[in-house]
Amino acid sequence: MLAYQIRLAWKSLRRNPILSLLLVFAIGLGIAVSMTFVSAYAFLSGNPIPSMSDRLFHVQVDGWNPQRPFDDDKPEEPPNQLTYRDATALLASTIPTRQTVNFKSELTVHPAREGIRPYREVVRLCRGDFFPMFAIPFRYGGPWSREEEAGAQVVVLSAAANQKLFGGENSVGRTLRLEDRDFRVAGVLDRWRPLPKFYDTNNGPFDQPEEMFIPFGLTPQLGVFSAGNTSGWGNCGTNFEEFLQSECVWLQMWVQLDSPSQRDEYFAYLGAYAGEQKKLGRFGRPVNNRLRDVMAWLRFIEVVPPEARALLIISLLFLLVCAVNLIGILLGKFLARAPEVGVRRALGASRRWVFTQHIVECELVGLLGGLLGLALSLGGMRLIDRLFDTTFGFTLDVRLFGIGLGLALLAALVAGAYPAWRICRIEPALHLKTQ
Amino acid sequence: MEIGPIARALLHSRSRFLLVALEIALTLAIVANCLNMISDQRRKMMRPTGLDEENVLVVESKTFAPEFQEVNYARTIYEEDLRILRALPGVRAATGIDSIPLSGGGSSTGRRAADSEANTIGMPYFVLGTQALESLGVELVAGRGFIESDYPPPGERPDADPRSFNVLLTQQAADDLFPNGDALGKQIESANDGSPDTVVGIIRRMHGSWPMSTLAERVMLFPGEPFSRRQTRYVVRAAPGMAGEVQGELEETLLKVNAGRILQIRSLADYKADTYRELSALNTLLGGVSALIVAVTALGIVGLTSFSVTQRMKQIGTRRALGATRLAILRYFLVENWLITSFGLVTGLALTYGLNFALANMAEVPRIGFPLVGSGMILLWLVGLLAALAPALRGAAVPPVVATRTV
Repeated sequence: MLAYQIRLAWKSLRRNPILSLLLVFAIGLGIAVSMTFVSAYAFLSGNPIPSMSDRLFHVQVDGWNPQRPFDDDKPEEPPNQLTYRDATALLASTIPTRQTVNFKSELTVHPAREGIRPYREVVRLCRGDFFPMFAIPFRYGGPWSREEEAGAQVVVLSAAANQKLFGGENSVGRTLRLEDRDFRVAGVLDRWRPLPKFYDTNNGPFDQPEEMFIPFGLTPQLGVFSAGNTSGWGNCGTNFEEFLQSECVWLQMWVQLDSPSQRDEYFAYLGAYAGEQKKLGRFGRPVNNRLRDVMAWLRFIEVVPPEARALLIISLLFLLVCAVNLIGILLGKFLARAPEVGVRRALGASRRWVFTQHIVECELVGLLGGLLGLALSLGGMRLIDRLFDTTFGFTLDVRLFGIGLGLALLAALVAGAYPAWRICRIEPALHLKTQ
Repeated sequence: MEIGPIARALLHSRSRFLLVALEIALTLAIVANCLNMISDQRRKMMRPTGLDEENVLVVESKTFAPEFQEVNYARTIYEEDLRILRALPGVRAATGIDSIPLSGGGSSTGRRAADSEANTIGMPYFVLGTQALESLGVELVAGRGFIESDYPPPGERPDADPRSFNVLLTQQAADDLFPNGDALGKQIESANDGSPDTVVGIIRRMHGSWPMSTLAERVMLFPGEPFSRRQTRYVVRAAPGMAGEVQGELEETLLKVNAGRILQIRSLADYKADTYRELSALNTLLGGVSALIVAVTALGIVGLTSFSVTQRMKQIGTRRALGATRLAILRYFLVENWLITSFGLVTGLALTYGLNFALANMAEVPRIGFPLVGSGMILLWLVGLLAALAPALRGAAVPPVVATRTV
C-alpha cells in the first residue's frame, strides 16, 4: 500500500514539476540555513575526546590574593591556571595514572633546509604523558621517554611542521635547531585537531593545536615566558627565576584518574597540599580546589559563544518560517485537486487514506528538500569557515545527517498536516457535481 | 473604500490568510532582532578608537641572533632602530611600545586614588618611549605629554619598578579613578606599593588592548624603554597617505640595522580588523539570514496573491462587467494584502519583543528599541505591497468577457 502511495505521490509531483521544485527548494533552503548553524553549534559544543573525557581532570587550587577573589564575577572560584611552584609540587603525586603540566610559548626555529628564514613558532611545553592521555596519534616515532622528561632536548612535531621542515619524511632522530640549541626529533604527529582545544582554552579555544612539543622540564633553562595568559595579583618578579617562584598563574594542569576512588584520593591529596600551604602561610584563602572533567571544564569556561546559541535559535525559526510558507502553497496545491479527490472518495477511498496519501507526498518533498538542504549546508559551513577565518573543516557526520533529515521530515509534516486534513474533509458530492 | 467587504471576504478563507499573517509576524520578529544585533555590533565596531589606525604601523622585532642576549646590545639596537625609523621619509613619529593596542593581547594592573581605601580598578596600560602621543596619534585634552625628565634611567621598567612615575590617563580612566573630574595632578597607587604615580596629562580617547571589553577606553600610559632581549615592538606613524610606502620599506631598513631577527609589520587597522573579525562575520551571517527570510516571505506573498487571483477570475470578470475599473480591481488585491500584512505585523510586535527577551537572556543583546521595530515594519509593508503588485496587476488585466466564458 505504501509503495502505491509513494508512486502516486511521485506522479503527482511530476505533474507540476515547477511547483514541486519550488516546494523542494523551500524546504531545502530552510534545512540548509538551519543545518549550517546546527552543525556549527554541534562542533563548538562537541566532546573533543569522547573516549577519555570523563577520566581527564583539570586541576585548580586557590593561592590567590587573600583580599580579593581571582574573578570578581565568580568570587567562589579559584584561579583558572596554576603557579609554577604549585604545578611542579603537585607533579610529585603518584596517584594519577598520567599527568601533565603545560603552557605555550614562542620559540625561534632555525630550519636546516635552504631558503627558509628563521621564524617564530608557537611551541607547547608539556610532559610526555600529554600524548597518550589526550589520545594523540603519531605518524612516526612517539613521545619522549621518562628519563628525558627532566630537560632533554627532544621535540615532537606536528604533521604540518614536519612537512615544512623535513618535506614530510620520517624525521625521527633528525636534528632541529630551536633558539640556540639542537633538538632531536622524537616523534611526528598524525593529523590531530581537537575541537575545542580543551587542554588550553586561553586565547582562542578553537585555535589549531601547537606545531611543536618539547619537555616541560626545559622551562627553567630556556627561560621563556608563556605566550598565553599570565595573571598576577602581586609581583611577578623582575627576572625569570623570580617569576617561577612568584604567585603568578600561567600553567594548565591535567591528570588522568580512572576510577571514582582514584579521583577521591587525588582530591584529598589536593586538599592536604592546600592545607599544608596554608600552614606555611602561603595560601591566604580558604581551601578551594577543583577537579573538573573535560566536559565540565568546557561548560564552566563557557567555551561556546552565546552568539552561537542565538544564531541557532534564529536559524530554527527560519526553518519554521519556511514551513509556514509551505503550508500556504500546499493548501493551494491540494485544494486545486479537490475534484480528483472527490472521485477517489466516491470510489471508496477513506478519509484516512486520502490524508496519508497527502502526507506521503509531503514527506517525499521533505526527503528531497532535506537532501538538497544538507548538500547546501556544506557550502554554508565553508562560508562560516571563510568568514571567521578558521579551519574547522566541518563536515556532516552520520548524526548530523540524521538530524538534518529528521528536521526536514518534521518540517514537511508540520507544513503538510493542515492541508492534508483539509483535503481529506471535502465533500465528494460537491465536487462530483461540478464536473 | 471597500475595506468592509474585503475584510468579510478574508474571513471566509481565514486559514490561508492567517498563515501568511503568521509568516509575516515571524519574519518581523526575526528580521527586527537580527537588525538589532547587527546595529549594536556595528556601533561597537564604528566607535572611534582615538588612534590614527590607518597610519600607525606596528613593527614586531623578534630576535634570534645571540648578541641580543646582551641587554646593552639590545638597547643599542632599540635606540638605533628608533633613530633610523624617525629619519625615514614619510614618517611623522616613531617609538617603542610594550604591547599592541586593539590587538586583544596586553597588560593590565590595578590602580586607585592614592591614600584611599577603595578597591583598585583594573587598568590596562602601555609603556611607551619618547614621541609617545605623536606616534599613536592620540589627542591630549589636559596637562602635558611626556617630557625627557619623565623617562626612567636605562634598564628600569616602570610597570615592575616600585618607584614613582609621571603617567598619562585617558579621560575614561581619569573619570573612573576620580569621579569628581579632578584627576590632573593627582596621585594614583596600586594596592601593595607605597610609591604613587602622578597624573600629568589626560588623553581624550584611546582604545587599549581589549577594544571589545568594558575596559576598552580605560588606559594608562607609562614612560619607559619598552625593549626586551627576545622581542621589541615599535609604533611608526606615517604621514597621511604614506602608510603603504613606509610599510614597504620598513623590513629592509630595519634588517640593515641587524638581520638577526624576524620582523612583522601590520597597521593598527589590520589588528582592529582581526579583533573584530568575529563580530563582522556574525553580522554578515545575521544580515544574510535576514535577507533570505524576507525573500522567502515575499515569495510566500506572491504565491498567496496569485492563488487568490486565479481562484477569483470569474468574480473579477463579473465586477469588471458591472463597471469596476482596473484600478478598483488592483486596489482590491492590494488592500486585501495590506490588511493581511498589517494583521501579521501587529501580531509580530509581540513576537519581536518576546524573541528579544529570550535572546537577551542568552547573549549580550540590547533591548530592542521601537524605531528599529518600526523600520522593520515599514520594510515588510513595502515588501508585502511589492510582492502583491505583480499578481494583482495580472488580476486587474482580466477582461470582463471572462465572466461570461466559463459558465
